[in-house]
Amino acid sequence: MRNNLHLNCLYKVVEKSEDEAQYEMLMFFSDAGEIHAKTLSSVYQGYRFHNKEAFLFKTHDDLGQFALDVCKEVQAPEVFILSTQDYNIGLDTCADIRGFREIFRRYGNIIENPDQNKKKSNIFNKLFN
Amino acid sequence: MQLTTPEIREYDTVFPGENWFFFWRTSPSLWESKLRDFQSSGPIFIPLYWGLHNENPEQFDFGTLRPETDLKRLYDVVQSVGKEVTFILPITPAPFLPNGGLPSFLARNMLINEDGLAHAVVDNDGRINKLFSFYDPRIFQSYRKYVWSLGQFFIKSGINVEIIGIDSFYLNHKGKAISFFEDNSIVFQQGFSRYLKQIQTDKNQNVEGSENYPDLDESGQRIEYAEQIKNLYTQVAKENLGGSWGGVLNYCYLGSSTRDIFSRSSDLWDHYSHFFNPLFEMVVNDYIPNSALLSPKVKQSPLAQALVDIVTGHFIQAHRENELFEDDYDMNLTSLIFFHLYSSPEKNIDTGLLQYIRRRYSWCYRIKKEVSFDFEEVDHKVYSFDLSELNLKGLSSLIKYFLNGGKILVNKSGASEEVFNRFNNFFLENDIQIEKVNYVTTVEKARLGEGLLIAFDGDKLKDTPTIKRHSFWDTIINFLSINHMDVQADESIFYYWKSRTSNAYEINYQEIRRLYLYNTTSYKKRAQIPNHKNFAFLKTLDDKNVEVKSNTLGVEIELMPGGSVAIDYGYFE
Repeated sequence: MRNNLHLNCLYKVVEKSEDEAQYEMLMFFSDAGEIHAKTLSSVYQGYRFHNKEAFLFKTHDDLGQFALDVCKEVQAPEVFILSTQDYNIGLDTCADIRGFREIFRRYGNIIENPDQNKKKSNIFNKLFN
Repeated sequence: MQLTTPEIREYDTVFPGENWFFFWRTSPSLWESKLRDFQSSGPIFIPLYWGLHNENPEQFDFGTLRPETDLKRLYDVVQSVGKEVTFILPITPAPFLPNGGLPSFLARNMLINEDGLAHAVVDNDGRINKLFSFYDPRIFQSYRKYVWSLGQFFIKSGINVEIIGIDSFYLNHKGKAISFFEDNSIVFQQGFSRYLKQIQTDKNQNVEGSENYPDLDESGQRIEYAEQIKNLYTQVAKENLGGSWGGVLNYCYLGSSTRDIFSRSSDLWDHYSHFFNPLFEMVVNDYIPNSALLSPKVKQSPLAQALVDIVTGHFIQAHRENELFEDDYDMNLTSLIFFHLYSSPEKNIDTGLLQYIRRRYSWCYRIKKEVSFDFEEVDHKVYSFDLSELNLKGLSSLIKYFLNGGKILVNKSGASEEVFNRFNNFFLENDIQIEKVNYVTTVEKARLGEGLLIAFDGDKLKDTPTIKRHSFWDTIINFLSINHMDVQADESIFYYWKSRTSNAYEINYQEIRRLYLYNTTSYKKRAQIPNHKNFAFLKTLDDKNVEVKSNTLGVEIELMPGGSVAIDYGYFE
């Protein structure tokens, strides 16, 4: 994968009861394609609390941390995480591909990869990036 | 001076594939020249776009106000250029139309999939088509008015042509075909709640007929409700279009799943190779594949070649006539099919049969949804059934087919007592010898003339190791005497078989089989076809970027990136 591409993570909220919810990661991808299932599975091992095939998280923070870990693993600069509800709102407002590509950036929460930001601060990176 | 290759843009937009004509995308003054220049075999399919004729709630325009809505003029133009035409009426949201075909004043509640994602697709022009729920009662009322007006217009204008209803499907990320009618939006939930309440009220008040309501769990009731609403739309179309109504066809669109929008909106991600597997899955699952949504860039060869090779006029005609398969006795090439699987794919995966057939016979099988076949017309195909999914009527068809000389595989696990007993009694009552063997599972084999029936206990195969299961099916299938050639190729090389009867110049052969090979990668790939005692290599056709060598061991093919070729073999016994 090209490591200068930002990542997108789409998740849904799974209602367990009235005051309890879990978060299920549905898709994790960049413009170049989906993040390899092996990479996702290996990063997810640290968060696994069930035996199901799904990528479930107990809290939104866990999901965010997972997204950051994947971001570090594939050396991407940032990840936008977006819920299905927000995706649907974004989709409703766009008419073409250009508008669609902006949904994650406009409606998602950004998590930056600090490792990549450190790299950017290097003088040569500033010159050549 | 032009530095770039000119893009054939409008051609693809107006004729998006498979003889479809999107007439609203071009000026009516150009209809004639475009249709005249369009090279095609078979009829032109013209989708009817509801939103085009119903821009405001109280008015339907079929050419009175705007020339681009003039269906009579369009019909006359098609007649004048000597083409056959079939109109297509969507009975579900149609992904190739803006708003799924709905007039914009009705586009309110987006279609939501099982994950809670709103459904939208990228069309062949890079526009986003959002799809909306058909469960809103206002939509049904308006649809009824639209179809009535359409029917009246056709009668008054003297348009005498078949109108086919289309149920539109997509393949989800698990490879399952889902109708665009399926919905999880709030509108569906509200309608479903009303339906449940009504059922309960009917039962409480002992309304006549309520005792016959099926006793289903919630998911079963959801399916039942969805089916009932879909039937309302179909019924309305059928009633209002009278003699022109040609029934419903199941179309499945490449690149139309909820998740396809992510890959298809990215230049780096989108690639024609992504559509090969879905194309073949649609074919074996008995849907008509359609490429109307794919962009001209993606529809470059070999995908375009595969679509031309597979989705032929004959293929569509076979679906229109609700035939089980394309006519074998035709001199035209038709899909080569060895197996008809009447049991659910899940059952066949559990027993390992589907995996085995896929590996050894690639796409030479069909998964059928209903047991409705002509048991008197016996062919050389193998029919697979699951007793647990059969009622007595289905069992009776199966037995008649066997008596007439058919080849049948039967999974006996999980059968109801009634069906199980009837099945066993048939052999006892007719004094038909059964050979019983315990090999991996219990296997029973019965022969009667040409007829061969192999029954097995599928439950025992579930937990059997893959290799053992594979060798089990190898042994069983060998009894069925299917002669087929082996293709040794990388997974990224897709191939498809067709066959036809031999002609007067090919009397040495009973049948001609054609193998189509497509390299979907950006690398050079090799494929080998070892010699087989029942097959003779005849010729290669339509070779694009390939090199074919024949030697004493067989045929070796070198396919360059995007290369494709067809190879003919003569089959003799």
